[in-house]
Amino acid sequence: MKWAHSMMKFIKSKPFVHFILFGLILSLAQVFALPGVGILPTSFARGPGYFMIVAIIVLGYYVLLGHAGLASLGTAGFVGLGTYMTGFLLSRTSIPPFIILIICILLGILLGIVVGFISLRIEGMYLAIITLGLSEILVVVFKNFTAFTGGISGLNTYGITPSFSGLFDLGSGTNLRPYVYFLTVVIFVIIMILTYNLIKSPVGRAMLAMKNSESAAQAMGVSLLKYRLLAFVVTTVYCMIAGFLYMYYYAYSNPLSWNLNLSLNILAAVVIGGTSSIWGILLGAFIVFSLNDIVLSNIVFFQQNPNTIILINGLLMILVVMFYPGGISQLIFQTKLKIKAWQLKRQQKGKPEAIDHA
Amino acid sequence: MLEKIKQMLKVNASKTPQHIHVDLDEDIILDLNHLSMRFGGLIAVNDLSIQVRRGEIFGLIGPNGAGKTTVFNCITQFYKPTSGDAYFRGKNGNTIRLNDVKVHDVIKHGIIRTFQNVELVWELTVLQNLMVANTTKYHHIITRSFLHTPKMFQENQAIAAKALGILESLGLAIYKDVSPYGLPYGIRKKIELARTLMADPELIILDEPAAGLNDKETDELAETIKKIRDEYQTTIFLVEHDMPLVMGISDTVGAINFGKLIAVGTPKQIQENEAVRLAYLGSD
Repeated sequence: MKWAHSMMKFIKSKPFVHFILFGLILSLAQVFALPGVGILPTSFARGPGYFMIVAIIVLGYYVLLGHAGLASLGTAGFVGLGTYMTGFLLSRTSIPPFIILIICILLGILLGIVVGFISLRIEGMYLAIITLGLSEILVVVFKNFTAFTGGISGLNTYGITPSFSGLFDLGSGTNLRPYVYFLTVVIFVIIMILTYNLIKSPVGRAMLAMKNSESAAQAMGVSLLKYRLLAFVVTTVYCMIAGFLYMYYYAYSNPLSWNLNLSLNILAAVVIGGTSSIWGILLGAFIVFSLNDIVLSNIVFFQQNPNTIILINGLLMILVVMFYPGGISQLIFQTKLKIKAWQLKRQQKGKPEAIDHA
Repeated sequence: MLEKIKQMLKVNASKTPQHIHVDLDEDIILDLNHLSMRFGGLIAVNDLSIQVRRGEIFGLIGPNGAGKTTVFNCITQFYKPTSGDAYFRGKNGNTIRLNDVKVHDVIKHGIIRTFQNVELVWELTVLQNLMVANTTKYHHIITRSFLHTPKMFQENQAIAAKALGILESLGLAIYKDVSPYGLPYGIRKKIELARTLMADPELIILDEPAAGLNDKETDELAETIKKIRDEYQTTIFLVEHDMPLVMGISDTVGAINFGKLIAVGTPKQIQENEAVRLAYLGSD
């Protein structure tokens, strides 16, 4: 049992191992649902697949709102742009997917810099309104720029099998979804690790200082220009990556999907999740986006009354904001402290142990 | 694109008139030269000239609305002065014109300030709060932060050790791992003072350090300020309303009213000065 103990120690000491393990568990969902395996129904992987794509967006928004303290309601438009960019390149050109991904990332950086510069002049609610406007402009473009986007009926890439430039061509007519699922897992794990690294770093601290007080942060040597641009670039790049994966996974993008509703849900996921840990954020994303898909829609009561799902989401949000302004992660943290205190009380006759706040 | 933006910024900077190069005397650290700041029709600082000597505690006093905080904001570049210059001579002997420095670069020259209301980050521990003041000391901060390279951990460790040393020397080490949220106000003020020391400051600018403190805490603060000046060989420039504190610790006191300097001298001279008395009590 010694190796098991040292294994546990290794897992505990390296946070990125947690994310890789989480990725492995997620990929199991697809492995079991592969047509040849058949342990789970083939459609099962759709839930986790959607969850991962959304979680990427939410993680980007978490950096923006939770750390840099900037509110944006343009998230949906940026994701939409990613899907259309991917869809267009996929259907009209024979550029391999990884190059498309890089193009999307570059476009995200450009977009982030533009919005970041806007954020230097305009703050708070007004920034949210400006980004909302930007997003709505994008949606109007998606609807009307028919040659590029397919207009109101949407853009689809059904049946197009991208060439992987000879590396491992899949052959036409292959069901792409399992492959895209595994690609999503890999990208999701990388993004979780990068986000974790960023928030547990001098940059994360500088961003928190900026959120707390701009003038104090500037006096400490934090350049607003640099860190605001960075925060927006992170968000838009994540949005574009999510858009890329979405287009790949669903092979369909409709302008109506990229409305304010999605942006608000992403905001809700960050608020419900709380700003103190990545796991809280993922939980928030799960509650807002996947709870009804994966859990509630399997319960008979909710199948008969689908509208109550929205009710539950709203209720949950009110409860969290009222009682746990720090989000669900605060609730978990407090429970942990309580358990530790309780254990301490039990152990008091033995050797006393200090509560570790770190 | 970035190059273009940089060029644009450069063009903006070069619009400000170039001034003749000034060299300050060795014992002068800060020289305000006919500094004025107007907000529309309001003249907050009016043709103010002050010299602060290296190693002294300089107290700036004045009735409410006299423009004291505006002077600080002009030095630390939160406001760009309407006219006049602020010169600073660093330990390396170079004199720089602060008007040309960006607000977040002021700290790089060894000038750091505090604020009237304590500005600490609740989400970070006290130790991490101190480390924020060293953000500019990291190299390749963005890439290394994303990748968590060993180099970043090395730098992190060095900076954390420095922060811990400062906390210990001010007797704050027991608070290092807790959030400043919920700590007594006096302690938070001290933490803010500790944070200024992270920047290896040559000039510390304190904006009403004793505001909101009780008598005992004020006395402790006075001790801490003196200790910082002596142990870290810095110069301290403070604005304060608490007269016993200013008169007790300052080497030189300057009094301003309606943005104009009315007197400079030792605390005793200021206390006996007729113009200062008039400014505070009014004439009959």
